[in-house]
Amino acid sequence: MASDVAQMAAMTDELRLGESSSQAALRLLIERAKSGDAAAFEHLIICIQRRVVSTAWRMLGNEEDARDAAQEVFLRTYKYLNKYKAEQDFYGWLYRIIVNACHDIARKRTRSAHFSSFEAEREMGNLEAIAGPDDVEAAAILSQEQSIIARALETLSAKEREAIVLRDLEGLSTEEVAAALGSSQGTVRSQISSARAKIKLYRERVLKQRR
Amino acid sequence: MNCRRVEDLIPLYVGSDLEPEQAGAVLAHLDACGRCRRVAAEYDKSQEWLRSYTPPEFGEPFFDRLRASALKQIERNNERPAFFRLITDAWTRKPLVAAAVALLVILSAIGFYSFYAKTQQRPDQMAVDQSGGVESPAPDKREKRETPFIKRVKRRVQIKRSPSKQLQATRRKREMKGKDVLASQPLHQERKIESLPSTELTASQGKLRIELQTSDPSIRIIWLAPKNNNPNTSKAVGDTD
Repeated sequence: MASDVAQMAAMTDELRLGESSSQAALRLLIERAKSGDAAAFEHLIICIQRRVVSTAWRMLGNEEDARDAAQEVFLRTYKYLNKYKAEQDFYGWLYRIIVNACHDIARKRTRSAHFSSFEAEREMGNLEAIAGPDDVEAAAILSQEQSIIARALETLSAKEREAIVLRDLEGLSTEEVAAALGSSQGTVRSQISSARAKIKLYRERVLKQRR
Repeated sequence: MNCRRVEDLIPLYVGSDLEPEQAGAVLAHLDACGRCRRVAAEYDKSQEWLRSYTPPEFGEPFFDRLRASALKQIERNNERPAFFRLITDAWTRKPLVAAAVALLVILSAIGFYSFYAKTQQRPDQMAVDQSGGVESPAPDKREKRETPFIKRVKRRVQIKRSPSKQLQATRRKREMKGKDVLASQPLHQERKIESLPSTELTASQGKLRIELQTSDPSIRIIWLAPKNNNPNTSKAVGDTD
């Protein structure tokens, strides 16, 4: 038992590092979770939680929605894990769940409550401690810039936003994005092209206003 | 490749989303066209600006709370009865399926009601003709749509098949007089002369004409009797004996 826990901890540490994750180790973890091993499932959540939360945050723009979406993703992962086949790409399968969960959460929330401020995030205690006043100023400037980018993303349609977040921010290939969105590659390219053009236009307007 | 075409392809070019051939063609144009090169540079900066959109660093307590909440919810879901879980999951996951099923049920109910209403309009009833022993079919829906003329024709056909003695006499009378006296007379009713509201005595050459009006206004019995008042020698037209 102790050796199993140690083995799983080692595997999850490896997986948490990201790029060097062993596909075989991941498959083993998934198989154990499928067979009903609660500890294995919890370790699987630990492996994917940061990716899930960051993607959800980029799609939805605030901590509250991202948390709700992430919880929904974990529930759906548990529910549909028995339908996951070993030959499938796990992260591609996971992104599909993330996209659908974010889509459902976005529909429920009003668009006005899209982006929360830096101060609000810090008050909720979700952010790492800030060392000094310079960091505060830098963080505030960064937060302002993030806010502008969030508003730029809001100008996109839901499909465009999903496509550009997965392609340009999460780094998925066009093929993987198409699989996650349930669209063709041609459609995804068209959505990405349109989204990038709109982002560029928005940025130019913001820069013009600052001058 | 012209500038207009290249401008459409630049958003995909900056993200390496073009086919190698197309990317090569765009690159060749950018080498030659300063204006398009500037547009491509603006797209590069825009992409760099977008990639700076990074989520805040959420602390471990955030993830611990998130994980605990999710696992608790999973545990709660597992405690629910399987049937209840099936119903709620199906309902929340696919409300469209539920709506489609409901619509199907409603349409089936409407279809069944229409069919039931139609079958109720065709009762199985048979009527028997007392005088001639002819069974006439029960009046059905079609009869309601039949005009009086069609009804008369049908009755005439039925009469021709098995006429009673009374009908035979009436037919003879018709043949002699050339009148259609059976227009509105129902077949299955016995024709009785219940009352004689009026009689007409007409004196013709050597014969006494007696006309008897039956209760049916379309039937009149005309009796030509000899003037010698001997009832034995008189002969009635339309005598049914």
